[in-house]
Amino acid sequence: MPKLSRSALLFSANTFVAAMLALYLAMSIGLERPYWSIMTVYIVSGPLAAAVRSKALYRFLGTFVGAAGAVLLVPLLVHAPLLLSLAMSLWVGGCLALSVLDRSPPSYILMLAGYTCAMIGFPAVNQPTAIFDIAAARVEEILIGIACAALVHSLVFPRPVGTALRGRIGHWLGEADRWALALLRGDLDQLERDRGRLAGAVSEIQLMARHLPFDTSFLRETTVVVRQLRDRVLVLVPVLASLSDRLAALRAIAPELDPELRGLLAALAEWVESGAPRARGEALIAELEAARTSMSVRDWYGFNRSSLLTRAIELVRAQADAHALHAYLQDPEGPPPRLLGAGQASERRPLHRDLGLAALSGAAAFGAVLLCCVVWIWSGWQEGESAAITAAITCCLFAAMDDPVPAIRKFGVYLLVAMVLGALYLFVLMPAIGGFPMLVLVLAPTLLVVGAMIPDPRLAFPALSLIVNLVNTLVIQDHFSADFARFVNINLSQFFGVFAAVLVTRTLRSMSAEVSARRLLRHTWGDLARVAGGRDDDSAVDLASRLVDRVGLLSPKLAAARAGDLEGLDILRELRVGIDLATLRALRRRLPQPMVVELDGLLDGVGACYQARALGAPEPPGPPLRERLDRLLGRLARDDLAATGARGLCALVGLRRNLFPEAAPPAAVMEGAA
Amino acid sequence: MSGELNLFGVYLHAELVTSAIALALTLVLNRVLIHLGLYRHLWHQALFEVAVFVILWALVVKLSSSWLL
Repeated sequence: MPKLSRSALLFSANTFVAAMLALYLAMSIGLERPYWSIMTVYIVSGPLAAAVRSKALYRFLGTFVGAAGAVLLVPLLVHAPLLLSLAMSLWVGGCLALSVLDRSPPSYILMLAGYTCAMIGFPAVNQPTAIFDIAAARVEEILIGIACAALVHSLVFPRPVGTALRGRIGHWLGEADRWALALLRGDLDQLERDRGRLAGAVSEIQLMARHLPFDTSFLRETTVVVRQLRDRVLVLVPVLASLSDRLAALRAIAPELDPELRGLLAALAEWVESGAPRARGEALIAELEAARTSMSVRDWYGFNRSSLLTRAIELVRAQADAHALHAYLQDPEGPPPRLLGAGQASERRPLHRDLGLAALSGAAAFGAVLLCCVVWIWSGWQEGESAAITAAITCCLFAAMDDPVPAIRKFGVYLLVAMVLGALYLFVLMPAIGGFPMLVLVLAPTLLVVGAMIPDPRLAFPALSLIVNLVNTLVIQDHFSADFARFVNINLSQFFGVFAAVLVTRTLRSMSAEVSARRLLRHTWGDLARVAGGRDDDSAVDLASRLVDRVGLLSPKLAAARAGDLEGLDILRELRVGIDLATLRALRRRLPQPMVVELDGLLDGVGACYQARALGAPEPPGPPLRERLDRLLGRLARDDLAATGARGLCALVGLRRNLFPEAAPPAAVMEGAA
Repeated sequence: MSGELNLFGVYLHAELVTSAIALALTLVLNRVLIHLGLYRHLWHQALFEVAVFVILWALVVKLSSSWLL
């Protein structure tokens, strides 16, 4: 049993108060199913007030769209049950597919639109003329639940998302500082997995920031600052990854490095340790730039050194800005800090999306709901509707998982527990009581205890499934006097819904961590091929956002997969390659003609390489590609560096290091130096 | 004051309509207040918001009963 914290108890009490308020209001205006309001309160509630408020808005919109769908479909097709089932299943599956595609909070709208349509539409098939009244009543019940939850959670000791987000970003910056320090001081590089976790935390911060405009604290006024901060955090991951690679290259050539570089790295480490103040940062950038332009020897060591210094300058810019912005969030008085790095902070950055998986999730929901409908129609089972509804809900709720089957099975187990509890309530307690105060007293023990588990991430799912299922069992009491046969029938039907969801999901889209990891890698490779071919117009930060997000998703899966060839995979390599490719693509237009031809050849080669990998026919980058890359580097060694600038050189060196990590230093560069 | 409002042939609870109008007004007002930077000087912002909503709702009901209904 986990320790009960004060905040968990507060949350539980708050939610219970909101639920009882909603129940009272719904009963007092004579709505048919007041228990739906309780269910809504528990679904919407979360420990962060802003998340409750944004979720409330999304849930309202989703319910509204779902109800509109039911009003549209049911009267039209009620005389052709099979056709109606087909239309409803398509609606659920389609909404789910679209919602899975987008992982950000607003995607909740579509998921709800999907299963709310089933929840309202299926029970209404016996009274199609009343569909509008039924839909309106359901929307009102849900609305009351949403309003009560939003009200209580924002009034009684709200926990603003702003402060939580600020704390999260501060913690993240601390970890990034530690990474940078470990690199600069030459400590042994920490576990690759930690880097993956850091990348995953970036996406969490991104998603959390989406709730900020709904916050209960004045930090919502700082939404723009948080966006700028998010972009800095995004850039830090690839910059640090590439810095570590260049340092490794330099240490492989000259373990002690040269004295000037040693001094610079020590100064940099000191600066990072002192909290990255801006004024010193500007001076450091000047020093690093001076060291870069004074590069005397154009050999492989010199190239790597210049590349390292370019990344170090980027690191200083991003770190200084990130720390300044974070400090401003602590005390947002006066104008926001002046920044070293430029760049527009767009409202949101793209995350990884998987069209195929989204389509499969939609297809699974479609299949499960349709299966239930067919059995329902064919058997003439009166309570078959519950099966269809349960199938729709379970398929929707767990669609974001790699393998939803275990979660759906567990949902079935909690359904059983809820059934026992529900029977206790319906047949023992409810008949013995009268009046609203007694009802509150009877509900209090269960709801308060289970509600206190919701804030704990490990217990949230069981607790929520239990409450939702329990309240769902109580719903039948609104219509009928407790009838044991009907009670058993409805529960059996729900079990059948869970079974259908498990069956269809397992055949269609369950995948192991390994398969899912390979899928993510294939998407990354496809992305890189698109960037190399110039078919991707996203900005560098957008690309970084997608790649960093994938690294974050990939790292726990790789840890779980333990497949031979995935073992020891450098998950940051693709990230570095992506950033370098984007840099080269952006530079292309400013190069002299002969170099453009060479560069195009190189980009095409790299693109073809990643395209082949994405299609599942890996073809390691061969010697012709390496020779081309070396020719380009050799040109740089002989000619003026101004053609590509330091950024171009940095990107080319990065490509050479990451595509051919084992190959000997490029000969052309050595000749150029001679 | 309880009654139903005929909105293009659909009957809705009057409270639903008036509260929706008040909510929209509250959101607009909130935007303005956030823009002015007033919120950082308040102790309990959510409470302030709810109070604004209640005042606006009362106003809407008052005005609608004298003008519209």
